[in-house]
Amino acid sequence: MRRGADPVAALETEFRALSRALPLSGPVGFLRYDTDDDRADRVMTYYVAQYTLAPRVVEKRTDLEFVIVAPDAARAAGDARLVGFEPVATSKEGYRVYQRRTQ
Amino acid sequence: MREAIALLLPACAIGVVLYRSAGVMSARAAAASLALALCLGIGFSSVVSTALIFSGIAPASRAFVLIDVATWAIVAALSWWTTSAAKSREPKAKSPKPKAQSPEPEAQGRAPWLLSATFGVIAIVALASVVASSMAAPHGDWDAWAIWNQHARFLFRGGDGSWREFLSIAWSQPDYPLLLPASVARVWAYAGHESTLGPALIAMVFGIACVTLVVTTLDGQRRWIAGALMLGATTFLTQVPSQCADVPLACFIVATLAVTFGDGLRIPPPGSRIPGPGSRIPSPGSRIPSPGSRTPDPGSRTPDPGSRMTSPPCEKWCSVGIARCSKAAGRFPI
Repeated sequence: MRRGADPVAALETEFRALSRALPLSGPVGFLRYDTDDDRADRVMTYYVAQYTLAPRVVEKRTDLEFVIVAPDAARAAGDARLVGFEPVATSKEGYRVYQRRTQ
Repeated sequence: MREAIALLLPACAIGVVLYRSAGVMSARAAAASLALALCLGIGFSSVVSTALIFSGIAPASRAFVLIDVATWAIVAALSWWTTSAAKSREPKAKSPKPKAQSPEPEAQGRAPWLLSATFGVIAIVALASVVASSMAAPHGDWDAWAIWNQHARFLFRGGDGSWREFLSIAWSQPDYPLLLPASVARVWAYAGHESTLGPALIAMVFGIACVTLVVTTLDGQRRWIAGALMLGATTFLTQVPSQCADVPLACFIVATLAVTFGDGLRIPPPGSRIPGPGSRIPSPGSRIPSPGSRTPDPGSRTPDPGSRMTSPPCEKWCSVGIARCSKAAGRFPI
């Protein structure tokens, strides 16, 4: 099938690029948007992350080893929720995987 | 096109039962049987796939496809054998030719071909519309990728048992049945990868089967009108490429009604003289009038004792009851 301007296909490409940095299964964190987390396009981003990364389970929490961060999800001037994490993979459009630093 | 092979294999195995049981078929009955075989094929193959996955056989493994192919080959062979055995037991002298089981309705009106031709044109346009929609949104509608195809990905990718993880995702409706996800995972197993063609093809097959069953079940010219109305409805045309479970569910409901009330799929028992409820042409030698008959049978007042002998009473009364329902349904415009 041809891939056109389908938003699901576009987002899938982004998250597929991140999948190599993630474990093959188990839970993976997803950083909540600071504002308007329930906006339709943001809900879609989260759902497509889950759709792409199955059989991993993408959960909206940050107390996990890996956390996925959308480009506009983190606060601009440093996000306290990402303290103790470091970026390990970045997609073309700026979606990132953060991994918890080893103590 | 391994995806198409995956869908045709169980349909052919089930088609053996339908075709061999009916014997000689009209084109209309053959189309109805094919549509029913496709529906049942996808339905039963999803059960087999679910059983294999639950047994720990991953769809991504070669063993899954081999066992699936072997299962349907055995089903086809058993179907052939049982129908052959049934035919050999059939008394040849008494067995009527099933010519009347699916009579072609006589041409009515001045231009009987006009409605069927119009339906054909609408069907081609509808198919083009569905294909275009599927290409524009290859992952389907929101519910398709958030629920159905997502569950299919868990089943296909989670061969190590991690497919169960989808049960913990509350927003993805983990309690929804696995008919569609297991079918999609099975098609991907045959394709060897997660092609977007797989779920799109399943959606189209269900859509085509749904319309085919309606067109082959109704009688006269109204079947073309009903089919054209279905294809002309934007709801149907948006639901088919959405890859959701609405059209498959609708298709099974239509199939149930077609098998219950339709004449095209009715298989007369050997020696039975009771015509099908919707039959317009009485079967040879029948004295009991067809409830939907438009031409009065001269011998309709005299029941044939032979028919009572060959048909159990319950079957006769069921047949009459269904016939009355069918007749009542026929009073409605469409």
